[in-house]
Amino acid sequence: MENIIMEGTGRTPAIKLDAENGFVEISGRSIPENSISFYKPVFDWLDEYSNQAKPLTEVVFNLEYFNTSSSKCILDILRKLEQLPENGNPIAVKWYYEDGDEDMEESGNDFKSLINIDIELVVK
Amino acid sequence: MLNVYEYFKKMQDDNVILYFKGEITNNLLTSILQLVDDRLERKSEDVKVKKKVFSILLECLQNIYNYQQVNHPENEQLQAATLMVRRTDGAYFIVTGNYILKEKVDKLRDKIDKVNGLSADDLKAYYKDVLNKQTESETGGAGLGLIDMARKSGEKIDYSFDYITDEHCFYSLQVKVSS
Repeated sequence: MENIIMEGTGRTPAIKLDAENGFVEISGRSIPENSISFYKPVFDWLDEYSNQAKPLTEVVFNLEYFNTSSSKCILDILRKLEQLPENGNPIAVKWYYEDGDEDMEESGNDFKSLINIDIELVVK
Repeated sequence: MLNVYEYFKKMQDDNVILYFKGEITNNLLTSILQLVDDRLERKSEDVKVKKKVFSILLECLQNIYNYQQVNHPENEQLQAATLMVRRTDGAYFIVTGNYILKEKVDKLRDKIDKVNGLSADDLKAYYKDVLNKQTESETGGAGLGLIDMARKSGEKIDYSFDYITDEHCFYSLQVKVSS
């Protein structure tokens, strides 16, 4: 399957979806006005990847800001990722936040409490 | 000519560090955020405060933008909105004003009053509950905006409605971020 690499913009994050190495990264600003259409390719990629997941998938969220409509999409991404370990393919999820950014840390904890996979919170 | 000094003086007295009036477009949104980002950066504002101001401002502007796209897409006059950022000794204030349909007032007031009545823990639980339900609000957003702003602010959200015409109201909102 194809990898997806998207450059970040002032409103949308950089996205790296690497099927060969089992690596998923979303970083930068996620403040698009239409988050669902922006994240659609990511959802589709994850659906395909779940059928051929690597023995370990590494997932990195390294966001500076995200809007509330992106938060729904992030939860959807995590829900899709949640299925990997259920099918016997472990994942390691890291949620980065800037030192002192208590809201981003809190968001990581919010997501952690809503899904059945562990999220490691990492200070940058 | 217009008395520019009067305008300037008023803004100076009210501690306004940014003022905008006009239609909120997507490109403008990016520019305003960039401007605010730069200003807070120059003030070497605390990361926590900076991010709160930025996030709340963003949510306010996207709320207005989304609302206008749905409710008065063709009406330039009604798309005019205003935005202010004020900085006092101990706090930033994000202030917005825009036209809304009169029929939307009650629902909006109930929403803000509900959010204002919740403790920090209850707000967190409410936020997660709404996030988890996966329903789209009528403007296409996640319906989480006000809850998120209240959480990040940690203070009550101030608002008022000025009745302009039989159909429309001017909706003013002020969110505080202590610094």
